[in-house]
Amino acid sequence: MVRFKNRYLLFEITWEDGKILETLTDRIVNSNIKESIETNFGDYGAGIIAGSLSVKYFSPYTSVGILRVARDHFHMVWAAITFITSIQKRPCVVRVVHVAGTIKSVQNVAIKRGKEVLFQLNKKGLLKEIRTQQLSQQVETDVMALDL
Amino acid sequence: MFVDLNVPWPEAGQNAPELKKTLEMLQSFGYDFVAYNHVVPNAKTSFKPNPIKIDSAQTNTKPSTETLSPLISNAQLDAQPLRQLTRLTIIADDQNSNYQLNNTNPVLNSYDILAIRPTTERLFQQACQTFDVDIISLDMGSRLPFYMKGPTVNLAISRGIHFEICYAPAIRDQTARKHLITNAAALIRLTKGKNVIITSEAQRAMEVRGPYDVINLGSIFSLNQALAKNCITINLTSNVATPQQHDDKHIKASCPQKL
Repeated sequence: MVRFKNRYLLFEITWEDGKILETLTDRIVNSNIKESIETNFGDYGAGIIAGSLSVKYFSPYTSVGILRVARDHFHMVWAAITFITSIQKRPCVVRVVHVAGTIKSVQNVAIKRGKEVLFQLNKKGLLKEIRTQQLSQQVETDVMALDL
Repeated sequence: MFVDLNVPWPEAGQNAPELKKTLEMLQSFGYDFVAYNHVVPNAKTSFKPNPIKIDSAQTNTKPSTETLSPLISNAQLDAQPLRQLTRLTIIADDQNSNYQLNNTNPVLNSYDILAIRPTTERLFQQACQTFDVDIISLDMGSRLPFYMKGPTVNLAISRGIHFEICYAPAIRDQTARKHLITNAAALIRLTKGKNVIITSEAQRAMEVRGPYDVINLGSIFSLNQALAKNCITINLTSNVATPQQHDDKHIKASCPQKL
């Protein structure tokens, strides 16, 4: 019996307005991705990934997220992500920064990436020092708590 | 080295801030080379001198933090300055006019890359067979008025001409997406993925996509990953960065895969 294999995509959203919207959740991102798959790959595409696709983690502060999808179809999901032009009417670009086969490696990259982004925000004065430390602590605990 | 060989040059001052944003976006996504594209509507209008001014200030500074959205990584801030090339695209719609595509034309020589966009089958054949150009660009976001034929395309490949696929129309509009996939898949079937370049033609900064996302897009045009990577990379052992030094610069600058 062969194990069911997944791919974990670490993605990052770049917003045109550059703002942080705390109300954005992984569910909203998930439904946007599914919508894009449906428009680009139709009912077949939506059906074939419905069992395996899920956004496991998304942080509105860093705009970094992790999604899991069956290995056989990750090219399709990635293409659908690339075709996303806006989420909740805010223009954006979604970019895949890392592709991993195991949960361990995607966690490591996600933490590193999240901290980098927070550091940048702090440097630009968009986040206060204390808040940055809190959030980067939170990124670490949230990502490590993932049981995928 | 990732390269985007089609960044539209704004006409007479319009949209200039958008160009800056686009460049910053390209840089933060990890591109190393861009080519500004100046489009000439037809050959009858006598060629005007090269309007593209390569702004050294724009590239030698790191991306300005105010305009960039906050999501760029440390590594990208340390990125090398973007290297810039100039490109002329002639939209060929009249087969009787003389396009003066030869080495003695000083206007053409002032550009690094020369591209042609044929709009009829006859001109497409001519472009593949005789025109001395680097890139044949087709408007893939709409239905092509002719079929690309194997022997014609092969001839162009043997002459070292590259075919261009621009992905931004597919991001802008859903109908264009359909046509682009049709045309790109047809082109890749004929060329087997050789001598194809993928460029953005992004009119807005938000139409740019990351290099690895573009490589993945290749997979839905039925390219495999290695071939798709060849379509947007450039080998740096070449002298593309200083193309002025070469007489046959047109050919050198536009052959990302061969250099």
